[in-house]
Amino acid sequence: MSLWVDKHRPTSLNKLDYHKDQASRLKMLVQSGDFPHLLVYGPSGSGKKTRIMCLLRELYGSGVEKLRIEQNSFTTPSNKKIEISTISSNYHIEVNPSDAGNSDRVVIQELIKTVAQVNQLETSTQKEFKVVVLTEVDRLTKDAQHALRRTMEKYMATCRLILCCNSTSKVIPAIHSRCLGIRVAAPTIEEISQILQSTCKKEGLNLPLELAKKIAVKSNRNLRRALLMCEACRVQQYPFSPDQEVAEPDWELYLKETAGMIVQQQSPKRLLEVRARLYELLTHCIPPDVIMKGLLQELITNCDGQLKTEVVQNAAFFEHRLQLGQKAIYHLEAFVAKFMAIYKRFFEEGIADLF
Amino acid sequence: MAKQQSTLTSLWTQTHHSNIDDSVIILSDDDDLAFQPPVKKVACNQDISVLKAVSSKKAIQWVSSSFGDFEKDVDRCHNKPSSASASFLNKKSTFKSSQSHAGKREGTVSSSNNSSLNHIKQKANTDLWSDKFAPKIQSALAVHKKKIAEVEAWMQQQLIANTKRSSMLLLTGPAGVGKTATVRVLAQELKFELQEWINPITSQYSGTFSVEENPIHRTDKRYDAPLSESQLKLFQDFILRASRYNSLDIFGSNSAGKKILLVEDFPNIFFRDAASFHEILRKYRQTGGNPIIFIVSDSTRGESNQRLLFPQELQQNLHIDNISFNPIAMTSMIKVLSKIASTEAAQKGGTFECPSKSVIESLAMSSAGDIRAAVNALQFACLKGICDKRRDRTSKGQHGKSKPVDPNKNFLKCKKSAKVLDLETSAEAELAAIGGRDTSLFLFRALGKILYCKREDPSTCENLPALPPHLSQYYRDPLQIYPEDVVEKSHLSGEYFTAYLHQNYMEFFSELEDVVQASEYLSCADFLTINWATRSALQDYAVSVATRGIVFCNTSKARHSSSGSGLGWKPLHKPQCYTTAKMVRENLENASFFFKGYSWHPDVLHTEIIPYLSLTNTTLHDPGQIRFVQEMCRYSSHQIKSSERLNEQDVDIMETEDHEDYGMRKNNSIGSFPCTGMEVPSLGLPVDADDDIPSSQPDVKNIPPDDDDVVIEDYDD
Amino acid sequence: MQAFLKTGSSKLSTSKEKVTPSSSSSSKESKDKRKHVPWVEKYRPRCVDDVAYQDEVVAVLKKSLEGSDLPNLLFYGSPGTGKTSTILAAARELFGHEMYKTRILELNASDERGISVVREKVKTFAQQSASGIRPDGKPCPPFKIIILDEADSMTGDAQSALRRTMEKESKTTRFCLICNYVSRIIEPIASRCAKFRFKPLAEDVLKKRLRYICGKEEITCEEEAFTALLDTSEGDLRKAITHLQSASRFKGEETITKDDIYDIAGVVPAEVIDQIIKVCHSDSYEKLDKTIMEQIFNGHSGMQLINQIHDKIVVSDELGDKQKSIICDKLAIVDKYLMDGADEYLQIMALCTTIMQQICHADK
Repeated sequence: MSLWVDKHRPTSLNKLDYHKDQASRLKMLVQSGDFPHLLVYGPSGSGKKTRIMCLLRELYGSGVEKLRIEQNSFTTPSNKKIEISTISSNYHIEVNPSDAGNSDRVVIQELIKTVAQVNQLETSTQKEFKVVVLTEVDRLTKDAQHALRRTMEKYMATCRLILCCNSTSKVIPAIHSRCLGIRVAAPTIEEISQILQSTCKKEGLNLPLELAKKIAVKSNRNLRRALLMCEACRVQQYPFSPDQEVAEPDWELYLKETAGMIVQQQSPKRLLEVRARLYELLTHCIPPDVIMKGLLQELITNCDGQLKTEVVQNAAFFEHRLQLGQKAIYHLEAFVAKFMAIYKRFFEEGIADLF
Repeated sequence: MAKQQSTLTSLWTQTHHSNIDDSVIILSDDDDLAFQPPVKKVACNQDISVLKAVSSKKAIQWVSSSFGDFEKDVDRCHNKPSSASASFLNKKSTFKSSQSHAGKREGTVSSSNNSSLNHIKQKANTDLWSDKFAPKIQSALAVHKKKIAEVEAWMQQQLIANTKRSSMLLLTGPAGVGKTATVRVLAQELKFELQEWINPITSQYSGTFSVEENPIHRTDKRYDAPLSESQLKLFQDFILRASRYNSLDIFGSNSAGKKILLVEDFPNIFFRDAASFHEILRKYRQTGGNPIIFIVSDSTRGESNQRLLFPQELQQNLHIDNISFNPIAMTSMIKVLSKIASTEAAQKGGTFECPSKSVIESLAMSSAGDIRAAVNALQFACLKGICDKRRDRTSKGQHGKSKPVDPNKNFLKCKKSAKVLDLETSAEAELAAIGGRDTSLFLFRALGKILYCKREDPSTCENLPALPPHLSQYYRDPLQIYPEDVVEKSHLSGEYFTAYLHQNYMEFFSELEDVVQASEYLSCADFLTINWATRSALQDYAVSVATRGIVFCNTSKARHSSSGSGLGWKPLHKPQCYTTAKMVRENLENASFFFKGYSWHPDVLHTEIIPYLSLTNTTLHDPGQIRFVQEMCRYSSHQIKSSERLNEQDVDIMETEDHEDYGMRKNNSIGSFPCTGMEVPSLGLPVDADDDIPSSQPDVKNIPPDDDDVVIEDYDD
Repeated sequence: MQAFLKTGSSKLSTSKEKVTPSSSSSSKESKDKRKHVPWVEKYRPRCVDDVAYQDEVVAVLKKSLEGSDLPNLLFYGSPGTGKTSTILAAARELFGHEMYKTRILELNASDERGISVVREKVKTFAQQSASGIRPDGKPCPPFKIIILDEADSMTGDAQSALRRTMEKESKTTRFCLICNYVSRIIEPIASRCAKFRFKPLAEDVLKKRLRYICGKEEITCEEEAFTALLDTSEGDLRKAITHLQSASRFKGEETITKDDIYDIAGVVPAEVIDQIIKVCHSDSYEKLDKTIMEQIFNGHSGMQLINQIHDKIVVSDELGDKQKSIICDKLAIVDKYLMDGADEYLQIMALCTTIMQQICHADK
């Protein structure tokens, strides 16, 4: 399965298309020899993983691209067995410890210990350390993060960590301070449209500028999405036309329809129908917070200034509960109900004002 | 006498083992079973062939190994008088712990032997009806015809299929719905030979008779060889070897037919370490042999056992067919119970009278689809004479007419005073305590009480506290019910009760503002239980908040109204959130299985990659992947999806998603995925990797909306 | 810690050079030296005297070094103030190289510290006897030390299991617990220990140390950069040194400017905060939305934004007390929600709309 996202991913720091100064800094970092632990953070689709791979390639050469998937199993102190799949090459290993749920601390300790204790062969071209890439660090439990920070110190000699996360809010400051933070900002609209155009050129297609801009805007500054959208556009209609419809994922369309339904009528009956649609979205594994944010964006456009404030406050309130609670549907429904009430009241007041 | 003799000879011609550890009752066609405390029969695997050949049934526990001894032992065993009543309850409660009760005589081959006719007569009085009236022919089974047909079809397929790739069948379902019975009956009818696995108990011998210490005993069959082998090994031997050897043709059994292995009693070790079990299954699949039938009863909280032993992946890879049994329908159960009751009444003559229809119905209802329990309850109830009490009460005509139709209507319409309510619930409680599951308030009624929230007439109550005028919109008439009591009597955990309320509350509200408030209370209820450490303590408060919130917020029911609520009878549904959560879990698992090579975040995978996979023209190599992507991109256009209806007699909550209606979309049903083995798609990561020649293209857009067999509920009003 | 131990014990390993103690001049192999040793470890105080700024503790420890008894210790305080360094330095001085390993047991949060470990490992170690003489003949205290680093992450049960051992073995074993929040240590343990609070370091002390390190490592740093370092570190010397080291890695031989420090520390540039507040004044939801989205796309951490907004608002002259109190109320709630893991965009929008409301519609 080769999407354009994977096919045209830059493989070395030189080939990166944006944030070039950061790329040159990284290069210097590698060359200086004093390679620290890294914490790479930034919004989704901004190129963190790509940069990490480029960095690894810079460190170790192209051997790092030969990847294999392995299943490792760890045993917790309470004798529970956990299976984690890792992707590794001869020089690095990439793992997502939050797959292990509450036992992620064990995974981290064991894995890093194992990696760190196996010393590299001492040849002049190779580095003395191996790299462990941990993804989704912001989903780790606090326990695991504390364990991580000591482990980072302990095995500094033979093992470097590259941590990857979306936002540093959930990373404890202790880890933050032990790492060099690399902030990967989302590419700008212009940068995205440039990349789209160059990708299309590589594929032998001609992409008009307006369409490129359109896609870039719609993608919400998420480069991965933009590329996927572009590929979908190509399937839809080629040669491209500048005012072509950009395909959106169906769940988004479905969500938009749902928002439309909410605005159209506010009653318990309608709420029931909305509930069914929410269940449908949930069944398709769309995360509930994504649903809530999506709904909010759509509903806000139908609101007036003062109303927006109130709606946003409620959204923040219920979204927090949603993150912590177990039944997402309760909170989603409560938010929709609240919006309906606010909207209805606003409407009625508006009508009352007319008379 | 002659009759008993003939039954005896029929016993000898059967060549299956009876499975005794199933504590109380064996719904097999063995009658005259010695009822007694659940005892384990030990199967000595080293004498497997001997074991099988000897058609045993009864687990006469105190039996020794050699053939000749049993009469003595049988005597011994039957000298223990135990009253049916006393031990019945015991047995019921030690249902699952039967495994731990080791028989006094360890042993071995339980040989059957009830050749002693005298004992049979003695035992007739103390038999369990569930064994006595166990079905012997297909038409006697209370299971749905379709299910029986399915199992039969599978079995017949085994006759014609070649034995190279033997197949396995997994039967699941709640306890006591007739899985084992069906298998035995069908095996008998189709002339299969059934070999069953029984967990051996070896613990007692391992100390004294370990093979290394006493090599003499190794060959000394007199003491039933010390089994210092692990259960695992024994089980493995059974599965892999038992099918190879034909049973000895000692008793003229018909061994020409095909054999089917039956495993209901899984060695305990597999529950801890399921991986070894999977290994054995894989080996079996490779080496071939006779077909095996596995029977797994559901536990009340989801099918954790089934999941552990037979994960979806395994079922798919090894082509294990899965037939799920449903709880027995009320009508068939009532039929069976009535038949048994009348037969017994006829036989016993004047010792007891046939219980009335309403008694039978209430027994059927309280057993929740478990026919074994229902029959036992009937037996017990008849003995105890509770039916008299019931009849007295029913003659008053207050509770339950002959049909259990719309008890809710009755509830609404007839004005019962609190006293009668108490009487009703206490008698129900008594009956429930005797025979059935111990619920005192059916879920339907409990929910109804909360949702309809009847209130007292304020004029009849004295000393009502008054609210100051600025809070007057919060005034409500006093409630007739006490919500915490209702929740407690329904015997459901707070979380489930709240889920039921959440599913159904909205139809009872007419004002949007009320719904807003109520939904916020439900959100609070969930929020209270976020911290796992305090969850058990706060759960009660959470459900209190939820129930009282719903009761309070419903301003249309703030006042006592003497003419009923005017809402009519509304159907209640089971909570959709659990089925949804399960489907989400399965989808996530499948997704990670199909896209294993890529290190995408699951969120990204589902919100970006998969939707776009269907929109773009990428080639996917694994048909399983293709199918999965297709399924995930399909959105139902139906506005309303109905969930399962809650029956009035329903007690159990955690239903699995299988039921007769296969219209519900299942993303991962075994049949629909053509499995190509466990190939991981090639890692197409960096530029260097090339793609294989595309084998198939996903069937993209324009899939017609799925026409599920969904019934859209009409709401009265 | 490992690196620290290794450098202290003059063992040669292929990957590490012998790092001379800070008092003597550094050797000529410049680049290799810097390779694997974090400066935090390299410049850890070797002896108790070197510990900066914590007078009481130093006094007590010194007394004990001279021969008197050592109580059970409980060190608490903000991170980066020298707790671990102090006890390690003291232990080294007390026991010397050879006995160091046998006399000290260190357990920290990355090790297993459940109840079972406490029962076995700690107990066994505590029960070993300790002699009063060093191998080289000098006297040393006849007790062992168990260092429990990051003790506040031990569960209550593990701590309870500990206290009995503390009592029983008090003759031969001293415990030293190190934690950030003394409230997380259960009462019985806290009462058995002498508590020492490690204050956040004063600015001049920090500056002095930083200059010293700069000198040793031969890097140049602007004055403003020093100020920036102090601002971002909040009294935490470890943080400051790490930032310095990171900055020097990035810059190589160039001078370190304050922007570098801000970048590394993840601090949001002040202009951004100003802009947000300005947009709040404008009472336009759409503009606010755009600005916040922009910042989120830049990858700035939500918590960081909130903290900086808070700093600005609290000292602002434009808002009245009542407004400020309402804003701070909301700020606290939003902070908690962010800690719990809520979505950043929504929470920041909620906060900023409150600010907007307070600024523009103050009497509502």
